[in-house]
Amino acid sequence: MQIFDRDTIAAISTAVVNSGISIIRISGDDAFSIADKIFRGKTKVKDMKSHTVAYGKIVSAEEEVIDEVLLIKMDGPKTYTREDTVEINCHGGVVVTNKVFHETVKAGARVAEPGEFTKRAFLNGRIDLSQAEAVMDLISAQTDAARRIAISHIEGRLSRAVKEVKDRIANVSAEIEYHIEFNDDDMEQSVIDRLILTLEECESSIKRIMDTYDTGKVHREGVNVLIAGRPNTGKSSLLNELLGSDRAIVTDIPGTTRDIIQDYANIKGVFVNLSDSAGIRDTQDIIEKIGIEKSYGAAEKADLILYMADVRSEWNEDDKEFFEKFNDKKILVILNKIDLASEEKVKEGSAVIEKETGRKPVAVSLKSGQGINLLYEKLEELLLPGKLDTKNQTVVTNVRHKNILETAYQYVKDSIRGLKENTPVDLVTIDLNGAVYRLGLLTGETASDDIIDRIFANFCVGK
Amino acid sequence: MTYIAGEYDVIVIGAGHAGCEAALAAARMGCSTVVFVMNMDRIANLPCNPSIGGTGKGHLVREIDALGGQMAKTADKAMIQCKMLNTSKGPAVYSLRSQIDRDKYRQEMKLVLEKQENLDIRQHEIVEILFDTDENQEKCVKGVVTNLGTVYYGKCIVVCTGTYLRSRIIIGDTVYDGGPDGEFPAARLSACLVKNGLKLLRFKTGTPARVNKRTIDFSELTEQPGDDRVVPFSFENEELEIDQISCWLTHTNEKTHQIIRENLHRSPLYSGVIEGKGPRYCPSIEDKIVKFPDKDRHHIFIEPMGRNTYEMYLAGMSSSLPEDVQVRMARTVKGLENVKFTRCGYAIEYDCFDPLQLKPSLEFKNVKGLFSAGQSNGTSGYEEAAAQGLIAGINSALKLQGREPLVIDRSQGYIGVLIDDLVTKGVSEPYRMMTSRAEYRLLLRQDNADMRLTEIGWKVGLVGDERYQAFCHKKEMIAQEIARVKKTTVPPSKEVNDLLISYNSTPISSGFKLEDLIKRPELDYFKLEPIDPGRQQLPYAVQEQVSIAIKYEGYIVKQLMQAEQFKKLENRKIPENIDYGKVEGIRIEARDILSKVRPVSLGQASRISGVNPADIAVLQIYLEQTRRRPKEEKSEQDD
Ligand SMILES: Nc1nc2c(ncn2[C@@H]2O[C@H](COP(=O)(O)OP(=O)(O)OP(=O)(O)O)[C@@H](O)[C@H]2O)c(=O)[nH]1
Ligand SMILES: [Mg+2]
Repeated sequence: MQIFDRDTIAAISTAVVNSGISIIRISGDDAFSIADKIFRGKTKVKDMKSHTVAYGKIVSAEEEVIDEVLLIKMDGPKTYTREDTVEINCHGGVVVTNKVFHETVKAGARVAEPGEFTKRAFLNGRIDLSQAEAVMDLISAQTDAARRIAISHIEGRLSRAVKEVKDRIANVSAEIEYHIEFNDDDMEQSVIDRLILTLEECESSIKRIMDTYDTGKVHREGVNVLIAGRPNTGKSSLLNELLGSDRAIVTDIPGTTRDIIQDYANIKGVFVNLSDSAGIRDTQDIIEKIGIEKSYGAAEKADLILYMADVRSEWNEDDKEFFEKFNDKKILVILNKIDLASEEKVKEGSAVIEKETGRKPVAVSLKSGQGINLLYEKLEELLLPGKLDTKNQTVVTNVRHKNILETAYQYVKDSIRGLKENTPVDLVTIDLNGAVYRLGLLTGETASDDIIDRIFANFCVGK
Repeated sequence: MTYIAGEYDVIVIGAGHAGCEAALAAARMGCSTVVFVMNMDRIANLPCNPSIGGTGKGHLVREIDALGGQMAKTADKAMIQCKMLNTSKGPAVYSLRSQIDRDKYRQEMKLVLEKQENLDIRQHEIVEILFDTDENQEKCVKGVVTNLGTVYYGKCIVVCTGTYLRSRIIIGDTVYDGGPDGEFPAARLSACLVKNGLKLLRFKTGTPARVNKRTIDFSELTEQPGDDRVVPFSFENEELEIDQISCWLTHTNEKTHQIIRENLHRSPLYSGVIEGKGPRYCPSIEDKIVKFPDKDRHHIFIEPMGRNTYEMYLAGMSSSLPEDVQVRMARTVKGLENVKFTRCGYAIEYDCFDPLQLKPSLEFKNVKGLFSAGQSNGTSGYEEAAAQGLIAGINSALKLQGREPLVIDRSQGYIGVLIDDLVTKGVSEPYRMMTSRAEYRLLLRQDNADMRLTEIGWKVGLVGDERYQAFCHKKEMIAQEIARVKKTTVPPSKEVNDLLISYNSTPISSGFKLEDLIKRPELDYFKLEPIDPGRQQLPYAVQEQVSIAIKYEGYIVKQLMQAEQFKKLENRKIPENIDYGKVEGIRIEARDILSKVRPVSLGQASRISGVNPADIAVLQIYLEQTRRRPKEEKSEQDD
């Protein structure tokens, strides 16, 4: 276990959802040098006057521009944490902010633990004792949260995948340690070659896990919810309702939405990645056809589908086809426009849908607001953690995890290079143990005794 | 009437490897010291293998020497073979191992003790420790009682009882009370310790048979000679001239294994006679065959017990099977067909302390002035024992001088790793030093033990001024030579490129930094001597430091950074009187463990299993709160 006291930390410090501006805060001895690695402004951050603002661009390591930002520089101790602090105000929305944040981490900042800024503020004498109680609460809450996360579905899968690789690397390390501690002979080249092979497999395993983070940027954060249904049923209207803004164009022309429209919503406290899609129907229009194909693709990846139906139209072949394809998915059917139909008709429509799909629809009118509360309740229930089966989905959902995996990946790469270049094995173990330690942060196990136990379990030692 | 035979600053119980170092350190630091031994002819005995050093252990011997201890110097005197292990595996794990003439070692060490000023040696069994309460009403030590009822008073007591406490010897179905190597056990002291609230564990270890050299057929064995270059353990010995004696290698075979398997029911390990916890790294031959049934043979190293003896040690054949089985299985081994035993292998069971009762100074938390070192703390090995003995001896002296205890941390030495592991994690089997236990292995090399520790030894008062001056001079030479190398550029001359090509190294086409050439995997500082005209004649030890420092700079810097982070938490001390019941927000599980171990720093707390990072964060804030509270309350009153 290792706890860093004075390293530089970073966090996104405004609520990410639906706010125009997000602030990324960096605090610690290296705050300025880290900022200088990613910020391109008129002057270098380290040369800026304290408590001034600069306009500039955030760039990636390849100098590709990610966002235009305002950056505030503050010399310690006149800051919240009493450490050197940089604040980056991003305007580009959630995805871009996440990207910028990721760059700060790549440049050397560590993702802050919950409450860590306040903790530092306290330890550095910035805030008083009464506030410290609150910090303690935060930290203990973190333990609870960690426990909850650990049992959640997504994290469970990550942890299983990572544990497998970690075990293999630890076994390689144990084998080398066995040769160091208990075997006077030189290590044979054939043994080294075998270890390299194993490590190369571990390298690609980590890469595969890591890459799940990048597949489909849409899936980066939160639960993926797709709105689908036939044209003109009110899908875009629902998107706008859930976002609380006029994000999508709504007209009475069927086939208005031609492409996936994606944005983030906070539904009853759950962070949702919400997509609206083109209405599905048999059509000759090439553009619309492509849009519909995309709808199907998105449905494939969705954790939850909200399927819209117009109360006035019959359940037709297009609807049936959709349910044939995606019947094993979590789908909530919404029967819309009930303001335009009699109660009788609504009941009748509901019955048909229940018979056809095995699912009880929620009847609403997005126009009059009828049934909307019920819809939200239903959604809240469905979005509860653990309720959604997210198979085939992103394993790595969190930038901190991604960051840890990247470091571990680098360590494994270095260890392979070391073995290939005949670097003495005692040095190679520094990289191997680095990788094992990092991966242990994800699985929650870190113990140096682990390697020693493996030596005794796997090898016959002793005089 | 009780006979009060003396009054000492420091009393050391036992004169094995821990006891000798403890007694010498205390006496050399000016304390009047007495050391008790059950048999004067068994001072510093090597009851198991006739060898000192090895992986991790060689590092410890080097460190003992760097701090001003004795083991390395005596080992150099008694060395009959030298081997540097792991030379192909990297500088961090180069490990010095020697074969030792054990009679010579005993004699030499006895003589050192006898000559030492301030030190008395007495042949007595100690049967009781006398306790008292000090002016703060805390339990403290007062003295010891010998088997004759004689009393010795002492201000500090260092327990170095090795495997003698209530020890039992087990050979097959024969069990008797006995100490190691044919000695008597110390049967009575345990009861006194338990009565006084000290917690004891029961451990087990074992040793193989000794045989007569005359009955071995060497023509069948592989010779294992020593290295050409003999490297001394002590930094004070630049060179050693010794006439080396070889060891011999042979193997067990299917017949051996069959005999063992057929007689497993007669093994006390499997019949349940042995209760003590044995070490995994030193399994008996029967253990190896049960645990690794697929291995068709196991190494047996035959090691000489000394120059003036025909006895040889069968390394790898440790066993507690009955005598007849031991002999029969030995005779299945190539070269040993007609072997005759001189001594049987045996298992030994003994009492030791639960080391969680100790502070990092090796003083008991609950008894002032009581220290323990060596196998009595649940370790195994001569070197581990000596290292602890040295620290316990130093700390008893420092305590009497009213100075802060010496604690070597994990980034400074294997001694630090060893003691921290003991007092932080406790032991579940006899603890052996291994290089993989050290997080900062590349910093803790055997070659630089003096760089790490000699200054500390000097400050403590064990390293003399003369040696310290020599050390400072060496340090200076290293620094200057590194600076020179870093400034040196090598021209792309024919001579240079010829040399590079001869090592399969890419030739250079323009001026190249010497430093960068040294860093190439196929080259090093020594190999480049012919193309480095500015180089002066420097002692080998200096050149070695320069070579390693430059060649592995990248990795060394990595580890230095990790070590620096580590130190930050080590430096956050936890007050001795902390009440964990008052630390809100810490988990109950962690609270219990912390109250038991009572770590001295946040760093130590973070290494206790069962304490997680969140607990440490909470604790850290609590400490800051209590540190500040009196101040803030005061300033409120002032307002
Ligand atoms: N009366 C009534 N009209 C509605 C309701 N919901 C949506 N509408 C109208 O239905 C029409 C279609 O709505 P959209 O949200 O664009 O439908 P869509 O499913 O996105 O349509 P496409 O993008 O063409 O597939 C618009 O004119 C909406 O104003 C409702 O509950 N009641
Ligand atoms: Mg639409």
